[in-house]
Amino acid sequence: MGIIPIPLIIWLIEDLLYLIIFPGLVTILVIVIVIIWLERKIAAKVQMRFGPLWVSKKIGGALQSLADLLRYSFQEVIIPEKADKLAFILAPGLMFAFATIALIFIPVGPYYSVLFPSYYTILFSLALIIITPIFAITVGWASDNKFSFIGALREGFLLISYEVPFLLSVVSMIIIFRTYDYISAVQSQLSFLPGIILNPLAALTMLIVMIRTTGRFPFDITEADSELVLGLYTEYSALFFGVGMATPYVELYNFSLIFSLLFLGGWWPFTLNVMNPIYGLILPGIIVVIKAFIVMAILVFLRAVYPRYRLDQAVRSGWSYVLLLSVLSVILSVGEVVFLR
Amino acid sequence: MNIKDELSKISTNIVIDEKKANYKIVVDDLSKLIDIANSLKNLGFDHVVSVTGIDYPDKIEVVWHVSSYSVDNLKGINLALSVAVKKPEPIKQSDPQGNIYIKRPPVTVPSLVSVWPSGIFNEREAFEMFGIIFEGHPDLRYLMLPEDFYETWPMRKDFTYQRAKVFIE
Amino acid sequence: MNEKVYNIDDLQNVNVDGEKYIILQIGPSHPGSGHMRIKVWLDGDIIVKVDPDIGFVHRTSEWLSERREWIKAVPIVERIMLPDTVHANLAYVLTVEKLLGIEPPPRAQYLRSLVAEINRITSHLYGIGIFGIFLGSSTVYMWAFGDREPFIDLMEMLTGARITTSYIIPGGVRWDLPNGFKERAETVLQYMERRLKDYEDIWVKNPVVQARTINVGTLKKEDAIALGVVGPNLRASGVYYDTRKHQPYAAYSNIDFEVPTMKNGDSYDRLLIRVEEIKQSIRMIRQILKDIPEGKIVADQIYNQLNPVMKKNYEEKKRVMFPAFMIHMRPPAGEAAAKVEAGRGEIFFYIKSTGDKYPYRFRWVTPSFRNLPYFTHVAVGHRLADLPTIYGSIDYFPPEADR
Repeated sequence: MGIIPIPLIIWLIEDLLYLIIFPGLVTILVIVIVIIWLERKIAAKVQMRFGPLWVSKKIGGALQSLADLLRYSFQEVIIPEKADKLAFILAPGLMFAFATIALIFIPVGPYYSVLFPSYYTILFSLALIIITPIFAITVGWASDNKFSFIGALREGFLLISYEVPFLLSVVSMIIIFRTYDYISAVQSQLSFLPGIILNPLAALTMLIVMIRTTGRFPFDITEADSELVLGLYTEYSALFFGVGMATPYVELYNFSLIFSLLFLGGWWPFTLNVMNPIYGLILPGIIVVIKAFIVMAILVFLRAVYPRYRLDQAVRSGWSYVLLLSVLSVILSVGEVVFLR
Repeated sequence: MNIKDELSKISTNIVIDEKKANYKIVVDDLSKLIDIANSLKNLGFDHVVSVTGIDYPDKIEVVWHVSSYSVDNLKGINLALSVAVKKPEPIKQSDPQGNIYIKRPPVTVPSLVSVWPSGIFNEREAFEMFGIIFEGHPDLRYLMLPEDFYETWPMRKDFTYQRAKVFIE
Repeated sequence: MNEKVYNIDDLQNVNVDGEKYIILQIGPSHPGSGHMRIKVWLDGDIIVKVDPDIGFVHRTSEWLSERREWIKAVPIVERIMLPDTVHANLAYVLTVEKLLGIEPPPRAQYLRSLVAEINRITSHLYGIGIFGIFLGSSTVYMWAFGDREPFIDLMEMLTGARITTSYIIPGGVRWDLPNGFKERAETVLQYMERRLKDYEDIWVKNPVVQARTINVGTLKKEDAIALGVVGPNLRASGVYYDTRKHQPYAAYSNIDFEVPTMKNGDSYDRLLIRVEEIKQSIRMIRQILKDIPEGKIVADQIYNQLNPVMKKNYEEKKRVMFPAFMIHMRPPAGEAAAKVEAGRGEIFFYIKSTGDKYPYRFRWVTPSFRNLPYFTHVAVGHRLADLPTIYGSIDYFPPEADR
């Protein structure tokens, strides 16, 4: 022993770089910071304000979120006496972790699958994304606060009522592409048509579910501040609070990546199928991330337009219109597969 | 409908000041209060605007200002329904430390919430400020004052706030 | 004294047992409560009982005013009703004028109506903004508070102060109409008319807003009368009552305006009626600026008491500083009551004078205090998320209710 083959070292370093830098943690951090800044700037523009401008005035206050993150890092951590301490500490971290791990199974380029060769990336990523709300409920339960508790109950209600349409909309795309893998799904879009044209119903369902799951307006129900203070995170402080607040944005990033892979043609118009890190990962990855970013920007813009729905209205529409829409999208997919191909 | 005639049918003791648009019914007998209130309600005075306690040296006057939302020619009238109760003598009390407190007992007046539900918060306020116990009020609790004003009736003229003797930093 | 008649804070005994329901203490430091505590008993998501616990910002304005010279009550009452300062000021001054028996000249009457209507618009915008943030729309919140600013600037131009103007004094007003005010006011009114269309697009006709407010917090006409609610909330329930029409004060008997009423009395109607009243106020301001008569701005009784320097200032700059001799004001013995329709509803003043230098009894009731039954009677049976809707739609302002 003692001699590790050089290609293996390079391979490992490459892996680490991907995990840490490009589609991985650093990119997530940058995207989350930028999207929070963008959300505040868009809302400020609509509301005749300037938005964040104190930190880094020359670039329009873009570093405000970073400053907030730093502030959260150095604040005192307050754990309520009656809280379930283990769950209270672990749940936000686990929530963030699972939201981030899901990214591993979302390839942003054809070369990406080399890292985690799997034919079931769609299923894996869905499974991991669906786990995160369970920790949200844990957060609410562990805080021993009535507002957090009601927030957790609301999260549970919404979770159940919007999970089914979400899965059905993805299933309808699986039916069309006849694959469980994002890369082959994108490649079949590149050779034919983007998913949003193939099945607009599924795209619409997915968008609604994205708004709901990531707590964007008008479905900002679990954190409704005029009723529940901050909902789940009422008792949280410092970095735990920051992590809890950032998780919905990571989820939003996940969903937007999935949306651009399944519906917006992935790395189209970059169709070069070369298996090396630059052409196989970085360039297509940038295209996918830009598409995802546009989707995110559209979704965060809704804050400036809509107030929030009531819980019962959201649950009712989840079980009626959205479910109906998703069932229709499955029927549409089956019809397309049967009659067109 | 002449308002003066209608009011004089209800009670004989009416003070009318047209210039200031003041109409006042002074009730002498506490037991008649609810009857008079009922007949005023039948006349069309349908809500209470304010319940005012007034502290005099020897008596406490309670004034219900009523008005109308439903009868057109009563909408411009603020009718006052006034009743006065004699104040009981204050009681001197001393606590174990030797401080002497003057306890001023409350007075009792029939509540008109059964006639006009709109007076419910007003009567609670008059109760805590003047020590007027409204008999028959469904929910006579303190409204605004904190516990350390318990039974001090701060709006009475002889109210003095206790200065703290020791300040604890 | 019977001990069972009352308890200080024993709420658990009141016909609802604490075991079955979640008792939620909303406030006093809660984003959705303001300076009050709303104790809510919840059965699942349904509100079983609400107990509004007010008094956290009780500022003893009655107590203070009974121990001060008459004129010193003006700033006190203003500071209680911050979004409605002019109306509080006006209501108090009207009561004192009734006691004194003086009548302000017509120009002063028009100026009072003018500043009151400008203040009504700011008050309604304040209410719309708070309603917006309670439903989660930060846009409407920012817009309303931003659009309140031009009107506050108008008030500053006319009175010299933005919020606490102390503009109205017994016998008249303090400042005359400044040069260029009419043009400036017309610009602001046209701006507001344009903005009202934006509000309709993003707020009034927003499907989410309609879903949240229609048939929520309905108060029927009979109940509204019985509970004695006031102001736009009363008119949203379909009761045609406006103090400006039925007990005219200032110049309102000469001004042509409509009192908008609604039918259903739900939160959406209470939202609509505020928009309608802003339109009426805009109409009234135009009329007042067109019809305002020339003449003095204070009554002769006041003018004759001014010293030569103040008289010179009055002739040159058309303004009266707060006259110092008013500290010696001793209205004759008697009592007077007056009502004023403020932005949120009707202010009632009842003052008893013994001819002394202080008022003997200073009683006033504010609109928010009389709108309290909305919590106890209307919110019951709705969902928890409807409580902010009802709270925001009645435009409740805790410092005003506590006095």
